[in-house]
Amino acid sequence: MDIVETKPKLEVALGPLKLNNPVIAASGTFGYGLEFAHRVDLNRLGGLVVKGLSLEPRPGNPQPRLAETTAGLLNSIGLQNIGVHAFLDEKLPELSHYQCSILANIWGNDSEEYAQVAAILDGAEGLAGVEVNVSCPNVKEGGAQFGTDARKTFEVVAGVRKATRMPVIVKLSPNVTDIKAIARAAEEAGADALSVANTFLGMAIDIRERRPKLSTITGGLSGPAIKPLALRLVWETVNAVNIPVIGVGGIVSAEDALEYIIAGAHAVEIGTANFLNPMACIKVIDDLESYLLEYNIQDINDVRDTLRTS
Amino acid sequence: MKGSVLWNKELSEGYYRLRIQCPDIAAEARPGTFLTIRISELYEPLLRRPFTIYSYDPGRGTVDVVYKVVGVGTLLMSERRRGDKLDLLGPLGNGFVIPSNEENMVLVAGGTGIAALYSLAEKVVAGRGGAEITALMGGSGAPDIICIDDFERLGARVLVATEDGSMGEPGSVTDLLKSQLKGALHACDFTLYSCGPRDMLREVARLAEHHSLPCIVSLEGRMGCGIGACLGCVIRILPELIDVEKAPVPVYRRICRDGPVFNAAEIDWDAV
Repeated sequence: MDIVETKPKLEVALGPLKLNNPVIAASGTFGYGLEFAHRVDLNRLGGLVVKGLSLEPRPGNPQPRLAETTAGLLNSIGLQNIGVHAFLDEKLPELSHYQCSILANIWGNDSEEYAQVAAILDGAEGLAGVEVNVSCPNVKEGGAQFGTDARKTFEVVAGVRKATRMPVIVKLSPNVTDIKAIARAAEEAGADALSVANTFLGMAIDIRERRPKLSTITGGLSGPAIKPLALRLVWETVNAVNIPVIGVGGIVSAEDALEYIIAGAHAVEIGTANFLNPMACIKVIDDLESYLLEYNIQDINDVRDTLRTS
Repeated sequence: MKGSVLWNKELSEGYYRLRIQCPDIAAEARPGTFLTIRISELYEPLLRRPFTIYSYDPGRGTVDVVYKVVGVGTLLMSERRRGDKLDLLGPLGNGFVIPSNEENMVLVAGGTGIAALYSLAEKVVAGRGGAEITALMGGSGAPDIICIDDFERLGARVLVATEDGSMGEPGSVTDLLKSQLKGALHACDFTLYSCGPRDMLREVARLAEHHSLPCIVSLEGRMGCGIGACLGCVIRILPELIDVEKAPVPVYRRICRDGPVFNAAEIDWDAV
């Protein structure tokens, strides 16, 4: 008897956004993608989200911007970026040659600016969608100021929705009491998907100098330490909205990714792990495929939302 | 990339030299470039650690790094033994522009700053020109003065300063530089190269500017990705040198990718 072994399917759909596989490189950890291009075959990624783009270029925060913690990393980069126009002129043309979905993370000082950036990116050749950053904890205006308030989130997302027909993902802040309310607001405003979650507010102190280790005193914590925290938020969000949820937070392995997928995530973003190993995303994709083969599962989508709670 | 440990020798208290077998990196290495090593297979420490390349031999396929034990990552490195496998990324960074082998060089090193400068001196001397190399080495005490033999073997004139006076001149290496600039190096033609603690570099840059000397520095700094993507390792450069229409002020450069080698005159030393 012939046994035909078909390759398991890794394709996922985040509403209108189709990805070749559920692994996306997270914003802020992958530059504009090109920094990794000669070490990592970008064609193999499901997607990559470039560094947050603002209307005007931003210099970012003073040093120190990084502090390592136990199984974690505090950052306060401050959204240093070349600005949306320079991205379109200098980075996207080369990026658009790759087969993975290129997503632009966007940021604004106010909801008008978010909409402006979205409008400028709308329909750009090679761009698959935008991820709305209402959750950066390292800037004084914009960012998490919006993501910690359901009404403000609604306003920003509604403005972006009007400004573009591309898929709109909204990246939520975890530094909230009730993420379900924010998630519902983003969904009502027209988000196609949500990414849960951005970094957790944290701080560290240099006891010899008696100074904070970051220039901005507090920063965003990422890395393996936050996985249990983000996973809980993903599970809550999945059960609160009908749109797809992308799980992000402390994923370094396929096992980590599977926890998120079982909890209901359609896809995952991988960030800090790229610093440990530039091939982290590729390894997770390969290991997910091996997992499906080993357990005779034909399609990654069959694993999604299979958490047994009774 | 995989490499393996050939040897890991203590040079003096807390300072080590590690020889790695990794032909791919040895083939591409250049003076002033560095490696990052993933110290732990797990997550403590989390991030890779950068190590400046001290010396490399493409023929033998080996790369040497010099490091000081300053924390959990470097402590674990010091425990690596012959045959241990290493997870490596490199060579990274811009490296030095190699001067002509006739240009005189004055090297000012503090502690492990010696690594970048030795790699440069070794390459220049291999060119067999007439360049005179003077190496000023400084540190808190005698254990911080490492690799003197290697420099002397290159034919460099080596001068030492230690804060506690346990070796060479008592005082800082920048005091030593100051006195040399008034004495033996007065009215001489040379380029200054420096690598070491930030306070030392700032002073070297100031002296270079004061004496109108060209000065190249190699910076060290905390790194995230090490390959130019995360923007965690940046230093501020002087805005006057940039087209401010295109760039916001302040202006930052990445030590891991735009550096670690910079022209001292470009750097905003007040922000360092």
